[in-house]
Amino acid sequence: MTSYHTYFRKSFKKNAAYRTTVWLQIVSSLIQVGIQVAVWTALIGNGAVDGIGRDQMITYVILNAAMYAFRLTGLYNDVDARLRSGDIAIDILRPVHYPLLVLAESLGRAAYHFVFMVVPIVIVSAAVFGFSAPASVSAGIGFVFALLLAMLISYAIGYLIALLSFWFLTTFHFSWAIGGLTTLFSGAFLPLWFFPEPWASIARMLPFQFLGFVPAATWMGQLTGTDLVVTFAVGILWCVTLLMCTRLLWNRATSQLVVQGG
Amino acid sequence: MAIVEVTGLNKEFRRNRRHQGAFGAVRTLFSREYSIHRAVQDVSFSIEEGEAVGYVGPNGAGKSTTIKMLTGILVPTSGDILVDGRVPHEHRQENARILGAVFGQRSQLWWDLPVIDSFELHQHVYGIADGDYRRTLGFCREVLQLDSFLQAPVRQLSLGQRMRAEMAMALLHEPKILFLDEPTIGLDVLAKDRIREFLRTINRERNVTIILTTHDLKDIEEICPRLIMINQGTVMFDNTVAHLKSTVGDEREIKIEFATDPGAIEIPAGTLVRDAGASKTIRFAQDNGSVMALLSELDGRYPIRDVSIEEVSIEDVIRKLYIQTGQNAPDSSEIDTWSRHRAVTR
Amino acid sequence: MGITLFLHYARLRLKERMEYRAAFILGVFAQILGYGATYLVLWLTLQKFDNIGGWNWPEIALLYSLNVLTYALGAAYTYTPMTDLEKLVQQGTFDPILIRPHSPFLTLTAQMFNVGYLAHILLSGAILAWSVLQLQIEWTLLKVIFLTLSVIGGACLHAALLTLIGSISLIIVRADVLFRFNYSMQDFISYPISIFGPAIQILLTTIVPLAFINFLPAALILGKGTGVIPRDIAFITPVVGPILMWLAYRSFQFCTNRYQGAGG
Repeated sequence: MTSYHTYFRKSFKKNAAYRTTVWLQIVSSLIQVGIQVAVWTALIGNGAVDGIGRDQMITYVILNAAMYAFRLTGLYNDVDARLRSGDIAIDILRPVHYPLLVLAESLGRAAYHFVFMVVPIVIVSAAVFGFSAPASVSAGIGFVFALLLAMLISYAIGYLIALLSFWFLTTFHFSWAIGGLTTLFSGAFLPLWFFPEPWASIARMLPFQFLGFVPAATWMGQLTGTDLVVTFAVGILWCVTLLMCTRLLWNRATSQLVVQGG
Repeated sequence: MAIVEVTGLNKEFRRNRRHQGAFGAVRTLFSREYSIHRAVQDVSFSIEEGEAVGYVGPNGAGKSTTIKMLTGILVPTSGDILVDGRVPHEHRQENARILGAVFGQRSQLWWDLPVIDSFELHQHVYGIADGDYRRTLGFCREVLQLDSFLQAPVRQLSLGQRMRAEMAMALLHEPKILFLDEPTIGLDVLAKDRIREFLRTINRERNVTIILTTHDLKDIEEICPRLIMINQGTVMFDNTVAHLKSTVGDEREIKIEFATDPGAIEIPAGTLVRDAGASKTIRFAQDNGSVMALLSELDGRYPIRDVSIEEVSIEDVIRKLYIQTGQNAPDSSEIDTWSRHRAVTR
Repeated sequence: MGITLFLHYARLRLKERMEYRAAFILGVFAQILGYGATYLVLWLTLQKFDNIGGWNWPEIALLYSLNVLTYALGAAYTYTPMTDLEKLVQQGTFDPILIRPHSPFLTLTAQMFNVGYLAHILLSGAILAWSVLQLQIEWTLLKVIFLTLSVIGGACLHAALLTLIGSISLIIVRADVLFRFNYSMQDFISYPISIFGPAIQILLTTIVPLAFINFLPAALILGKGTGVIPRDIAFITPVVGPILMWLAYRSFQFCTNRYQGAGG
């Protein structure tokens, strides 16, 4: 366990090393929040659409900007780089389980994002645009659980992209395709409650909603009772399925690597 | 008139001090703190058209900085350069037409495409007339024996084949001067021979001026009658290879493996430096075929199993030159890393 | 450097990609899916809300596709060389560029032309064409010329921004943040900029003149309101891009000279 902790800390420090990057990233994120607030102001105005007012959408926007930091999908970049340089052979020989090493590193990055991006972005946005606390205590607890699901699912998706590059030797195609699906079905911009049919039903069956819509909707108390239980059940199902896929592919990939001689 | 004329050439690099911490990059941008590194100091030489000159020195001696200034890639801090009557960095594009360049480590060919595609592009980039292109390409194809791989993608070529293709491409626009940066690095003996042969040919038959940097003294011996040696940014030798040999004394070490230990033996023209029984290392001046004389003499008396001649490295020659000129010779490790730094703050 | 030479380079790049035909075609599809998703999100939004700041779906489609199309045209020449410049300099691959018989900028952009933007161009070109047909604009010769020049101008503007950042990377390290910053600024022009505050509208027309990429020309063609910005300013659209491109070109030359003076 201590070795994974080391990877976590190393990854955190590595990311924190470039502080100019951090500042510009915060400004970038704030610009994005500002743009989306302006868009929702234009769309909803002072009234409400389907019971959702401008203020609620602002909270939704800020939550999704924050959620972005917890998406671990980007980890495929690290694996891809190490696969290209051949360093992956060294990683596999280490007395640690490689998938967990990748998870530890991604969590280190997420922790760094939380401290240096999520916190300042939420504080500044809340001060400028306003921000609502969780709708209830149970909504807060639900959010924490949804966040956990988001991290696990995004980890599994990112890791699947990385593993496919063992065969296709590039992550380019899958990352673009998955990126597109995430943009559309995560609800990060347009919440699923505004989706027309059949798009809403499709989105509710896919794992991408957990990367944006579900945590935010849970926080806001828009997802409660049976709906919430069913959604979480779908999430857990996806989580298990995707993680099993990564395990299957990982076993194949390592044997592939052995055959190729690393 | 000389085709390359260099007088009092200096190049200083300013290295901005990098700032750490928040807005470090921004502070670095506006900072006035820097250190000065003198890469080239008061270098002068002139090269006549049709000469072949070896430009040698250890890593970090200022070789490639000089070459970069001659080609116009870098601007000198002070001093004058005239290449074919023009200042290179002011007339970079005109100069490009009369010079060819081969960088051993960096390919200028298109990795995934057949060699011929890179050549054809080169024809269009330099606006070479069809007739001239066909004639020069024909010459290169023959002398460099390109035909077997002209249609193959560059990624499939061996290093030797790739270097031959690079040479051909650098010559397609019929440059007056050819700059070569480590053209034989990493090649096997056969491939090296072929490249050297080619360079001799174009130098003698086509009167192309060759300026060549290398670590391999053999390149110089076989291609260039003249040698400019640079160390720590200054020229320390500029004369013929023959003159270098007579200056530093052409000493070589020969390691002889005898079939059985001959015991103490008499060596007429050399001195015994290492004696390990059946294996002996002998050092002597090789100026009059005495090696062969010695070997045949020894072989008559004691059966010899193997002979190996140690190559003289550039670092060795430089150290000897230092001793000759009465300066303190730097350690060989220093030669590679030594550089002058002077911190300046304003 | 003549246009035929530019095309020669482009043809070689295409031929090179065709060495890995399957990967290339799959890549085109993947990118169409990626960008298609952003179009779909806008479409879904406008299914629900009818308009953003008075712009309906075909109008937004025109606005957005004009941005992506001009970006693709500009970036095909500048994205790869400018984002790789730092690496090229470090590896010494930039040096041979300096001893070609054409200007380093033209050599670099021609040589590193990226065929991969075909996907953006196909998708956005199709959507642009579709939206233009949907909108039943009364086309006059003048409008056609204006739109064509606006596309070229927009491509120049995108290329100019990437080139400016690329020039900076010749002087300072880790300029990659600036590229990312540039992309988040571009988010402004995914929407009609009249929905933002007056200060931002002015900023996007003056200091960072992104509004000339799509918003102002589209507003002029469609006869839309332009917030606090006088709409007639849109008439200068065809010259804004080229002027900025010229400035970027000069700054690239300046930074190249500085690099030559300072050394790698």
